[in-house]
Amino acid sequence: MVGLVLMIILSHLVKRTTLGKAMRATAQDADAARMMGIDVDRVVVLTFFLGSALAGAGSLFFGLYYGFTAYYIGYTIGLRAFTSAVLGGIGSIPGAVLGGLFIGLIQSLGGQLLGVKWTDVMIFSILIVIMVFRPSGLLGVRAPQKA
Amino acid sequence: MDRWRALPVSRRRQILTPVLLVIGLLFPFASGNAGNVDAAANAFTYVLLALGLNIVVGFAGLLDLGYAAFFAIGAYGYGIAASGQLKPAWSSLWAPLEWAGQVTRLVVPGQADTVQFHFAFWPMLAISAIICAIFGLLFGAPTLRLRGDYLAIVTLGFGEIVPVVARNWDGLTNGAQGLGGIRTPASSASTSASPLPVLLPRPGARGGGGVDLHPACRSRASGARGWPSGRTSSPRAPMGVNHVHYKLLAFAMGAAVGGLGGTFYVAKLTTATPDMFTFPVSVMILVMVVLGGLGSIRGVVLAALFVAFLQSVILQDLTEYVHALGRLVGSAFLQRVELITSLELIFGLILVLMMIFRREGLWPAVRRVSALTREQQAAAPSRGSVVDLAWARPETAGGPGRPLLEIEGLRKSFGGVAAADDITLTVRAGELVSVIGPNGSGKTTLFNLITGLIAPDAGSIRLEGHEIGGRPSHEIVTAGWRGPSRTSGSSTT
Repeated sequence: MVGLVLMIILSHLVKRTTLGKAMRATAQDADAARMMGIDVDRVVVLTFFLGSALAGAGSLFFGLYYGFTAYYIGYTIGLRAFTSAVLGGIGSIPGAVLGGLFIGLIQSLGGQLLGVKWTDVMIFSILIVIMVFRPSGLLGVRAPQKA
Repeated sequence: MDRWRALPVSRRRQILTPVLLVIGLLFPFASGNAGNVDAAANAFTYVLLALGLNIVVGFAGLLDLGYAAFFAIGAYGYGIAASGQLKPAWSSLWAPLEWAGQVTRLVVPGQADTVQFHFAFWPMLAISAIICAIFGLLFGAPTLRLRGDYLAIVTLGFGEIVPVVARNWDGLTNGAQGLGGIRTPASSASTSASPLPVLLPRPGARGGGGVDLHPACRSRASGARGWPSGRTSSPRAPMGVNHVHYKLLAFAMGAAVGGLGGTFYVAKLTTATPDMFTFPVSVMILVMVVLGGLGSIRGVVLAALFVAFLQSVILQDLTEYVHALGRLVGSAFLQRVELITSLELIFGLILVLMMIFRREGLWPAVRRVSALTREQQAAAPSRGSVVDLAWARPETAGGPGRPLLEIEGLRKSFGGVAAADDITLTVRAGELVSVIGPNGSGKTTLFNLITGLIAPDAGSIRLEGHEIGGRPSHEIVTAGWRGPSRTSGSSTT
């Protein structure tokens, strides 16, 4: 529920606000964005701020659900989050959500089918297969080619 | 020193390589300290791996976050072939190998006979490299369309898959406990007292001289010239380079070097466990490459040695200094500090500082950019050398008026925009033709059509009578005709 609200807020922020516009412009072409009067450094800093804040929100849920924490828990989760983002298509919010759900499903279904120890192999094999047929992710648009 | 500098680089290399080889060969005997020999062997394993990854990341510009996978494949390849892990049933097919001394028939009374593997190190070194190269190709082929983040995550995925498979495929790899009792090349001959010094000289020299030289030669050979262009701008590098070919070659070569590293490392260590090849290992190798300077062989060697030295010598000494300082000022905290356990923290710091202050690496590859001389301007690139083209100089142009480039009715539209509409143009030998026009009038489109970056919708482009319209640019350039050369100036003015 909170995740849904956050997603709507983020979606609004990226699509409707000036900051969101500046972010997307910076992603497309930092130099051109600079020429259009965007403070690229500021946008980058704010983007990191936003991303980290979302990670913080996510970790709160993790802590509430599992009821424990340790310094190393971020590694696997971060890896899978990166995988989800790429799977869904970088730069696409619905894509990231879809990718996240997809990975979650593979994780729980695959665990039952083949055993927990093969989960990572399955996640990454499916990722590679999807990347072969859709090189920019499930919902990704053909990204502008960066040098 | 001056006389040394006067020698051409190739000559210096001819002298230095045997010297390095001999030093590498003699080091284990000269240094009586087994710990030093071990540290040196580890250091040169790092060098080997970093050089291998440098081919992929530095030369070809393909970000590979799963390089440890090839390290693992090479390691397990040799580990399985040189330990008692696999015990297939005996059949007469094994007889030639037994005759060659690579396997032994194990006879256990009351059971079927089995085969004990003990393949020799040197052939396995080559076989591991080939196996890894094949894996590199298998893995490189589907990822060729990917770029940037997407390529990174897929390589990372591959790097995650391999250790998990190694951990869970108990029959082949003995699971999480890993392979034990892997034979080292000399252990059968020498007693258990000191197998390392006997084993190490030759592989040590490999790291020191052989491999150091090997990619160096590659970067001079015509084959490797395709890579830097792949790095600078992946989608467009029309200067006669077939990208698919060179990317795959880079993957295969990088993987093969990783396999060499794995084989050597496991032969030294005599065990292989899945934990030795996880993601942090890939990152560490990548750190060495970035630290040394992408695409710079000497830089990468330096960085790998530095990292190894940091790990085995500097941090231990520093820890003692800090402890001494702690005793001096009476701080309990300083006396407890263990710098080696915070190795990754220190790496992280070094890397962040490097990226802020010296982004190009410790010892970057020199990319000579100098103005062209008059002779060079009138020369054309060809395989192997720069050839002087007399026809290109107006005063000596043979057959004035002979058409070189003929364009007829060339048309290209992007969606509804007709960027080039019915262009007809002939360029004759010795002629200088300028294309001028306001912004958006299609000058760049014309150049892109001629150089083959984009395919025309209609019309023909003939270069010396050969139709080149719509052919990939690397084919146009390598076909041997006097090709068009594209400069940034020509595309923007």
